[in-house]
Amino acid sequence: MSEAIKNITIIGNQTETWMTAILLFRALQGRCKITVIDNQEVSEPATFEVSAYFFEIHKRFGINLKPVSQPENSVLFAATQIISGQAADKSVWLSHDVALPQYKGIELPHITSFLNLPTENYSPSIYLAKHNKMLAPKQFNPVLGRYEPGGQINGEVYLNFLKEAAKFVGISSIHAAVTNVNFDSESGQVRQLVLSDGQTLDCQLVINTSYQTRQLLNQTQAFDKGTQNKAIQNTDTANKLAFSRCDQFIVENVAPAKHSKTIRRVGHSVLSQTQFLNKTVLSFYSNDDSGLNPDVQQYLQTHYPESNQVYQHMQMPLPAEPIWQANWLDFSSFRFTLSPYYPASTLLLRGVMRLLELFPGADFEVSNTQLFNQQYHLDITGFSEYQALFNYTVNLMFSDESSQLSEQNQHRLALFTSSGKVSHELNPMISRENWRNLLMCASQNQFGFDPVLQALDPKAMNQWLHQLIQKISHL
Amino acid sequence: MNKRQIRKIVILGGGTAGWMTAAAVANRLPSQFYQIVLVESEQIGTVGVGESTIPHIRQFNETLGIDEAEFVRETNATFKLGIQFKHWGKSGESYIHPFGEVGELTNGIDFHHYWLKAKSLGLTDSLDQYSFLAQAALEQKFPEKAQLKGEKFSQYAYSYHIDATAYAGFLRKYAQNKGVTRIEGQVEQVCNSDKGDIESLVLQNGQRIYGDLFIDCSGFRALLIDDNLKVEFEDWTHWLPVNSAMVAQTELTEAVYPMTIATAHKAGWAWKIPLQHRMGNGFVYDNHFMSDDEAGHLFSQHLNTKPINEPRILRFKTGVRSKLWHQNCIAIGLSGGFLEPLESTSIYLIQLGIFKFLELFPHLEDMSAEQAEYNRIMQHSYQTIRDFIILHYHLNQKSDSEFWQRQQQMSLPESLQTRLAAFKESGRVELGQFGVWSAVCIGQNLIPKRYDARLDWLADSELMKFLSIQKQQIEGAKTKLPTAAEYIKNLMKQGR
Ligand SMILES: Cc1cc2nc3c(=O)[nH]c(=O)nc-3n(C[C@H](O)[C@H](O)[C@H](O)COP(=O)(O)OP(=O)(O)OC[C@H]3O[C@@H](n4cnc5c(N)ncnc54)[C@H](O)[C@@H]3O)c2cc1C
Repeated sequence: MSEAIKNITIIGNQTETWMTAILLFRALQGRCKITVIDNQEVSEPATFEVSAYFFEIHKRFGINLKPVSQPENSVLFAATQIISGQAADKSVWLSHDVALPQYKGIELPHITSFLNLPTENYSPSIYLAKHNKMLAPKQFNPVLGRYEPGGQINGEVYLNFLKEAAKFVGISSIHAAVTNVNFDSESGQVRQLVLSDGQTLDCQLVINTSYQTRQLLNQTQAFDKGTQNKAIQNTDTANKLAFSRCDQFIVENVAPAKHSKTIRRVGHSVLSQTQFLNKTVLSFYSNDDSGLNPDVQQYLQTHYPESNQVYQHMQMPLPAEPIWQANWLDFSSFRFTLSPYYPASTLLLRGVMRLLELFPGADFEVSNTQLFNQQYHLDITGFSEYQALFNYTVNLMFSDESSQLSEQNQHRLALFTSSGKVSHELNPMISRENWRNLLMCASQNQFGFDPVLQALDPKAMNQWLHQLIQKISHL
Repeated sequence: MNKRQIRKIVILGGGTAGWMTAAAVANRLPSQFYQIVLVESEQIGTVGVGESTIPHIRQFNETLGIDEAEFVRETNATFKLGIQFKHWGKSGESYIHPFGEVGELTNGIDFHHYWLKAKSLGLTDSLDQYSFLAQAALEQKFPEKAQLKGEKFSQYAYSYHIDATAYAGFLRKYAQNKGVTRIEGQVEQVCNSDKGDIESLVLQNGQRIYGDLFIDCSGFRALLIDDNLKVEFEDWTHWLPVNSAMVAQTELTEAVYPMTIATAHKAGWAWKIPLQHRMGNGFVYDNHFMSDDEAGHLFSQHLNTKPINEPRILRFKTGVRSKLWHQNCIAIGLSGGFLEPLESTSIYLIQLGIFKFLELFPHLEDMSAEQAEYNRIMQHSYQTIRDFIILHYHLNQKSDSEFWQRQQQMSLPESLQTRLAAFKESGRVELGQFGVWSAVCIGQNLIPKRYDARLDWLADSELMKFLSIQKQQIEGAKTKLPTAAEYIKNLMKQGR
């Protein structure tokens, strides 16, 4: 029988670090001592994207996000506009609808596709975004379905909130960097962390969120860890975490908050833009390891000469090794600014939730670890696939050039184009609705419909749509 | 807009698969536009078994708008809360695999971990003593929905035992009312187009039946998917070797219990499925290990009463088609694959096949994307259920029979190996898998080495208190229940 873990060491000083610490503390009801090795490797995005899942998890563990949710610190958006880099008038909207109205059991996009009408015009969430409106999902007329707004929150405010909360609940922190790691040669477990202040810290469960420490941890590859986790190699998905660099700029302004997000290509970079109550945040994503892309510089000079760079960070690819090995997990790849397309906070939260589902005992039983890696690998793959299809869409908008799609994405697109059906996901990391919304964009709104519609009366359908649009216009 | 459309669907076969398909398709596709034809041969008849179901069938009925009381009356149905497995671990032991979870997830930890820790402290209760449904079933009771409203266990899951012939008849009426044309006759020839699609079926009397899409529900004969289209059959008999069943009906000699009983014998197992008017019985065996004569002898002992009809022998082979949808033909039911009835999953797979097909209903011109999706999902489902059934065989601990010892030693599919290893070591099982794995594993004495170590934070006395409260709640809820037989009677009286 394995004993309960008594202490957890979390390495790093990122927003991701503190979020993990607080969530584990609350979920484990304070029964584990949590120590953060705050190595001053600060990474504090000006803002980062969150989903409904982010709020849900915080709520589940009794963490009240009120201070973070103030209008100057957060903005909710109902839809994302993907703009062509060339012709500004060319764009597609990605909706946040999670349940759509149905006509005789058939979802809205089939009806609009059948009648050859622009689906965007019938999406409640796109309507809200286009009209710069925001409604709490609860206020939404249920006849119109349901939507889940996305959000962008202030990284600094959230980080301070977390740090305060950590102090309050008694999570201890040590201001030092990890300079060496002592492994147990047989099990590959981290036994001790040697810190820059000379301390040596005994460890049980170690969670790493720091780039620096990642290199040290990966020394274990020198040890023979037997066949543990051999089945999972992250190399294929690693390549699909496409962007190695994120640069954020802020433009101070007094414009009202904008309840949409925009995505566009700027040269070889992708720009994700959101607008808070008093500032615009521009996040550029690229693979330029040499420095800020000249196209981006040019773009800023032309459009936002007053902008200030507030954040820059180089993204590490996923380790080829599994995320959880022996007694340590490496979450250092899952920065909140990992992707312009999908709230990477969801990916990290998912990892933390999976860890809680499969929380180990002090002997770190191997098959449990394997199960975690297997499950989390599916999540990461889902995320990567979604990101790749989004990237394909953005490229298509930019220059009609299409990037190579994976076999699964080709299948998703083929099925959707053929009859408007969404391929069933065996792992629901990305919901069916999220896929559908993206597939509408990826197919440039040229997708198929359920053939059963041929048997129905188009006049009645038109009437139904007419009523629908009236209801939408009352939002 | 101008893609060629399916207008006529031909279903070959009028067993459970054929009529379920006809009913669901007719319910979904407007009859002014779509013509649905079902061909069956009374002379050939149906397999006549398939009487135990899992809760998904309620979704099927709901989708079709079938009234429960009418369904129960017309199919002589009884209610089912799970399966009792006798002698599956060691001889003499039994356990119940109930529908729904055993106990509740508490503080993020599955109930069986609480039980595991208590067991390490000396608890002697079996896991199923903490399953409300199992306990109700053992006392032949059935939860009345209204009685349990608001109570902890109101979210129970149940299914039915049905008379297979009556069920097909019931659905036939339903389908014909919705415009399905039934053609009686034996198909003698199948004609294909140059592309290899099926174009028409020719009956013994010369009648030719054209169609755009064909659904092969011809049972084990697999007339279209196999004989005509030659789609390969993936043989799984090395994992699930039983290949014969002797079946017979008997009169009811005991009160109706709301569960299927599956009793292991030396080369397979036997079922008892109580209906309102009779008992369905079957004796499943591997004829490499037991002759038909011996099976017949043991079966009559198992029946313990004279059968109403002459016992029949059915032969089968476990496995699945490499593609369940090929060209313009979809195989649903026994023509597509067979998994033995240990967990009553065949009708569920029929239902899944039908719903997936309707969900992916294609245009006639190019259905390759829909086909690929359909085949992917169905293969996955067949494999998941296959693993679950193998699990029962593999976990036996019988030492007196070669058949069972071989099952203990067989090499397992990799997917199952991984899952089993995790459960054995740490009691973990991925969520969302088919069936209640923990109930079956623990029921067959695979006791995980570890419980969730977080439970060490819970004092032993607290844990014991928690378990005893669970039991009290079950006891309390149980006293209010009617017997399963009373429940059926009331349902029919009230016509709910
Ligand atoms: C021993 C045993 C026990 C089972 N128990 C269960 C259980 O408890 N739960 C469960 O869910 N499933 C069970 N099943 C599976 C279940 O019986 C089947 O899935 C279900 O009955 C569907 O059968 P079917 O309609 O595919 O085939 P059948 O019932 O065999 O129907 C085939 C149809 O095709 C027609 N046909 C065939 N050839 C021709 C032709 N040339 N011309 C015209 N018509 C033709 C026949 O007339 C018949 O109508 C069991 C199966 C077996 C073998």
